[in-house]
Amino acid sequence: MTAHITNQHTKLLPTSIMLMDREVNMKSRPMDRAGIEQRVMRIVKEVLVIDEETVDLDVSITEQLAPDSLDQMRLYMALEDEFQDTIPEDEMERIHTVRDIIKSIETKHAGI
Amino acid sequence: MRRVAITGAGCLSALGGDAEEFWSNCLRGKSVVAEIPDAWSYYSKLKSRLWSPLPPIDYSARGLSRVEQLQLDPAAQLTICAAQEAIERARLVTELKDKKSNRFAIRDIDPLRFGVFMGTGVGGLHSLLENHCHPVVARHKSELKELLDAGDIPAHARTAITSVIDHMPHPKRVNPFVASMFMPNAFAAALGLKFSLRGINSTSAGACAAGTIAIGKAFRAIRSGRVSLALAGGADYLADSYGYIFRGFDAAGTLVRDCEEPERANRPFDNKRSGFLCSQGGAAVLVLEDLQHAMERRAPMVAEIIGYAESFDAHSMMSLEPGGKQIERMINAALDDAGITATDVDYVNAHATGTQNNDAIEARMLRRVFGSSVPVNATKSLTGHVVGASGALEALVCALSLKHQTTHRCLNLDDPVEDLNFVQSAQPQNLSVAISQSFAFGGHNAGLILRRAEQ
Repeated sequence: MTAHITNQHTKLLPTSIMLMDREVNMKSRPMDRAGIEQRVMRIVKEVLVIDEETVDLDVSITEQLAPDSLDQMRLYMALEDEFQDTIPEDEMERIHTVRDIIKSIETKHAGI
Repeated sequence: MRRVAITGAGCLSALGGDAEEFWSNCLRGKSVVAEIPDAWSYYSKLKSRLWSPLPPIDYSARGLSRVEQLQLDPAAQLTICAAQEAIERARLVTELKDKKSNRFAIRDIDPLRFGVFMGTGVGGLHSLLENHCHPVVARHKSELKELLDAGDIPAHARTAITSVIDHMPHPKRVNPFVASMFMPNAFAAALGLKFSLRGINSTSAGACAAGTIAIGKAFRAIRSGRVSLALAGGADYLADSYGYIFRGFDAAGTLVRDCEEPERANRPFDNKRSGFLCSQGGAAVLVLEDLQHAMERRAPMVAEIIGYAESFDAHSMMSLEPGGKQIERMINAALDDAGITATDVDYVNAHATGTQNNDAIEARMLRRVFGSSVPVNATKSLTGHVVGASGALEALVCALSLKHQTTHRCLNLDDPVEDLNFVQSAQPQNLSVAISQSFAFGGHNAGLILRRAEQ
């Protein structure tokens, strides 16, 4: 018994969840400030395993939230995955707090 | 010397998301054959257009975090899922050790005496190729986009440039973890990290025999008392956006070519065979355990491993030595290692990829060593070739065949290349001892001897 299937099933490879350079329909996701803040908070808590209900938006990422540089990389990767967009390295250098992350994403996706 | 039991097993392959589904589909004689993704034929003129894709896998539902999925090659993720299943089936209990890294420890087991032995053919080649696309493609693509935006381009040129752009996939950035994703030892390391195992952690890069070699090394490590338990198996992931891994095998002329009847293209040991069916990937992991240790904790016994041997052809990078003498030498060494003779073997799981020369050499050698009455089957007639995972999947088939006293048939075998007792249907059998053999590009031969667990 052979299940022969067409390539309709395999057009998109179920590979790793790599951030590919392709058009993403951002309109289907809420991108207002409250929505962005909610999603950023969710990622920060998920990646850094923060059990508290809320995270102080102005606490330092590098000094308090994620002093380990690998954790910082994981956080930015997860944010890029969530928002399907890159955070350029020079942009990362300007980010010190969770509020900066939200501001950066908000600026990029304003009007979408 | 200690005796070695298989006390658990897990796998993911085109035939299913766990060992139970895999075995059930083996007995049903199921195979998954599909056309390759359209885009691959845009980049290369391919001789083969068929492969065996994996089913959709929800790694999140299997407990892998977003971060794990982002920083592990797909083959490492398959490996973790297969190992989780194997651990559970061996009735070992995991407990969360570190929430942030999503890592576990295994309860009541000495982690210093728990080893990891993984085999792979291509390591994290998928991750290397995908990330390599960024520096190679991104800038050119961006310049082409600028050209289109700049202005006055004739319609036909615009169409052509747009088509080129559409065929230039690349990640938006290089993954900062890519070096730890493409190294061949990443799968074994991922298991050691995931389950906090600090015994021997070893990787066998033995191409198509890698899974068999890894299990053989684990068997020897337990038998000699260096570890008490091991996660042992193989994994590979053979797809990438440009189909370049597939192209490598296709360019060598090793893949199935019969596209008139796609579902019958993959036919190991048949006179109409034309090559192997490339699998998208898979992983199989066994829990190997000191038999005494397993009995003390009342672990389930799937089968026992009683012998292992390797040999090397020193003949060709891609073809078997025509007489099969080194394979025969390897089999005799494995039989010696197990303390048995060829007449004690009552089931052979052949390497049997479906390539012209190699199947003929293997079949002649099998007849010479085992005669024509021992049941022989070809698991790759169902799974296709999963390279580093194949040996482990086939060892699993041997173990389950011994446990359930039946085995699967050879699919699409109508006109056998040799007079052997090829299994034609999944009937009840009286199986005590089985051999699983694998041969690899390079010239590596490896074989495991398994025995039915004492009832």
